[in-house]
Amino acid sequence: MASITKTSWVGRLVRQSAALLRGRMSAVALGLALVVPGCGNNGSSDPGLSDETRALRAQVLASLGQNVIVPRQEAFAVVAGDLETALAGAAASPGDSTAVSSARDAWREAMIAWQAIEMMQIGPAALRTQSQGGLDLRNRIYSWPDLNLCLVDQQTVEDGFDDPDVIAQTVGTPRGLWAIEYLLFYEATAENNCSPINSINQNGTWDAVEQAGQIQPRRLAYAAALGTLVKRGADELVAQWSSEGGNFIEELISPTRSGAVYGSAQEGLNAVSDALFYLDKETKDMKVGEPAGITMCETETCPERLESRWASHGRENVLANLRGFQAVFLGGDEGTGLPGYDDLLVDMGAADVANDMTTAIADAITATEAIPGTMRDALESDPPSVVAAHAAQRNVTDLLKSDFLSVLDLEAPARVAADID
Amino acid sequence: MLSRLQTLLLEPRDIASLAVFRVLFGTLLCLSSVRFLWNGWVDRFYGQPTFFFKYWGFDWVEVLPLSWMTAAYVAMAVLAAFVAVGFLYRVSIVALFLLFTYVELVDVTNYLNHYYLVSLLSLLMCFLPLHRAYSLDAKLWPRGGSPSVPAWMLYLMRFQVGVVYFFAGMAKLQSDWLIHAQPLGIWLASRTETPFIGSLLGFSAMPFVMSWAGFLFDTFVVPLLLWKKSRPYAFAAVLLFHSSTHLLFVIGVFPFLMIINATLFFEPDWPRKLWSRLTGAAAPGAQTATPSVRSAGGGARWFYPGAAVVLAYCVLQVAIPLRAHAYPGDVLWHEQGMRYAWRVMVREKNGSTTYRVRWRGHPREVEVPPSKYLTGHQEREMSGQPDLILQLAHRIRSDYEARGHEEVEVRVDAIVSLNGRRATPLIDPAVDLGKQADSLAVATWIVSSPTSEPLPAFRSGVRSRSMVSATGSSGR
Repeated sequence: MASITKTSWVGRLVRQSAALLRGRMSAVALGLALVVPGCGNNGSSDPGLSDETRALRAQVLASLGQNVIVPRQEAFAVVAGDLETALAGAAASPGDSTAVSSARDAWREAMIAWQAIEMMQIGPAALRTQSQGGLDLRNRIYSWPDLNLCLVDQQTVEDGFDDPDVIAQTVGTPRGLWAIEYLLFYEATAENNCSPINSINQNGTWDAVEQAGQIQPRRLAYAAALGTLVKRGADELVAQWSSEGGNFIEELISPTRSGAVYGSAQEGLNAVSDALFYLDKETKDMKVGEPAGITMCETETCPERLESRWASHGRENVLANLRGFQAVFLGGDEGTGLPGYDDLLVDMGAADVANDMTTAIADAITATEAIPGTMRDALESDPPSVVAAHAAQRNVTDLLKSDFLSVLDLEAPARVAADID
Repeated sequence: MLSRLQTLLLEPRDIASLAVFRVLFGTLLCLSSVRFLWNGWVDRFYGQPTFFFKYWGFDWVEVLPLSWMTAAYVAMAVLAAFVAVGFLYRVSIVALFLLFTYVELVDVTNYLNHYYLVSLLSLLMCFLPLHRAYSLDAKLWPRGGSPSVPAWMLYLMRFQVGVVYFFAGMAKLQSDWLIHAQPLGIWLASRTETPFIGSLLGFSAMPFVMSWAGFLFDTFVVPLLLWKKSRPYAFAAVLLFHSSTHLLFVIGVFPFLMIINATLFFEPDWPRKLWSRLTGAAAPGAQTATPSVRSAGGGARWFYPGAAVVLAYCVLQVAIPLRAHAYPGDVLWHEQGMRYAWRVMVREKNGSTTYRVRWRGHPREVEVPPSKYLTGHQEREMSGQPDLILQLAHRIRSDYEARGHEEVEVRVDAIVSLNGRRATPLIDPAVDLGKQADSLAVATWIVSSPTSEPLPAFRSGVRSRSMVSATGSSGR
């Protein structure tokens, strides 16, 4: 309360002083008039903003780890287990359409859970080369947009396709939820994605397996092996964050301790906010803008660039991305009241930015939900709905890259840790 | 009058302080180059980018292959070491100046005020015989040694440093800095975990105290360094100020460079006196620190032509920072006249830039994100600098034309937040940037600066959204 009282007379003084300076009065005299009473503070002690600001930043960082990131990773590990089981069932009964259908449902569940985590690529999930504490675990679970379909087809007709240990030990073998999507949802078997001079075509391997009616069974068996690897990856991610395992959660709870990865709560918050930029490049531009012909597409639309080409799950993926973004920004699901970046903005006196971002995120979710049917269908039947969703997402990323970074003094990702002046 | 000026400027002064400056400057640049290599910045700044922003008038400067750029930094480290020890000084300092300036000219997004200062100082050093004492050259070729230099050399170096401080001070004479204490209010709030001083930084008065301290320091430190009685206190302030900035901000060698520069304001013989005080013996060369014909810079014959050149240089150094006033509006917003003007650390600027391309026959505009061309570092730097946004627009246009499209138009949605103000458009989104020339004329395609006030440095004490809901306060 004392600070609010002080602010009101200080605010008046600031406004009056600004008016005087615009009137070309002496800046020096005005400045001294400001500084001296600012230090005096009506004889009461300063409210200790430093301690409160520092405490809030630490609190937000810890809460993001404990209440947003870790619970979602644990939830993903559960559905990854369901996926593994369902894929094993489908592989055991390749002719059983119910088993295949169950596997597909399990994949969708897993994908929704994972797409939220896409917004949280810090620490073990992130790339070693780009992030402190990175262990490349994300790419073991979901490698989009890097998937060599020819390699998937090759693996399908070669030895070891159904052995997760063999796959895990073979460098470069396609794996993860994206490869599973192709194996589980793509049904054409006559052609493959390799060139005519590739060994599986030159030697006739593909044709032989295809004529034996074994492409689909092998695909399901391969998918089951990959499901096991995804589950292992999910468990490892959970373990890396767990206090009983890699204890990465401690980097967020206690970032200033000796030997910490980040060194300060501010650095930790910057790492988490870096992950939010997935919404800009991957979600807005690549998943929505490019297929819709809005971004870097020189024909009317570019549906071949859809993220989920076989399961037609792109709209749901984008929604999950947005909800993951929302959870990080707000510190949890809407209405939970847990500390998030919105609280940091309010702390800095930028409640309007916090409110605008909250509204923009909600609007983007609503606009994406309004896309009718699948993303591919909407590109044909209702392109304006996709354009509107893209525009709504851009409102979020515009705020993220301008007001959000400025007020919280955060750096954009991939910015070189270089000097300034 | 002119005769007295001539006498004053040609008067021999002890070379010691300039020679020590040479040693410290060379050492700093050597370490700086090694640090650049060690951090892998050669690859990041010159290997990873596929597009490089050109300086106006220096479009012809091209990046070399990465191995050559690496070699340039290795060479700079060696040359700087040569300068420090005074070995083959004339060749070394000229080569160092050319190489350093070249690597800085490769990409505008690498521009830093202190890099520009290094270029200027090394340029001046090309014309000053700072190797005549405390150098291997003087040891190897004693006839080239001298205990003194003409006074103008010292004055010129002091002038250069003085210009930096003065204009850095003047850059702070504006309401964002002095009245609203921004951007320091934003920066300090995120640095409350800084060792030793962090707990002080979040106090509401601190941004104001530090803003005013910075303004007063920059504006008055040079006169205070020149005045003998205040010099010790002024140098203590130099040490305190630049140590603080080193602790708070990632500004590389800048603080060390400015501390080294401040030694130029000491009496020219300070190294000898310090040596004597430390060892109790006279410093080498002290006995011979007497005027000589050689040290007078070649005699009076060249005085007037030389003085004209030096005067022109000085006028240029004052005129270049002042050119910003030829452009209407806030230079921190439109950035015309921002570079080479010593506007050091006075803005927090972040923006979002999206290009929109249209060409004949295509039904709608296509968005081009800058990330398709730029590294994260380049994109961040570009987002607040209109001339760089223009350069990339030209590149995008030429790329689309090269792909066979006709009548290509490039527009941009560029919104920018300056010192915590709400983001507003920086560039007129209706203007086809492909048709705008990159020139020194007033850029009419830049939108006027926002009239709103920056983020308040005095905060309300509202700590979280739950408190906002309870009180109904907006906080701004």
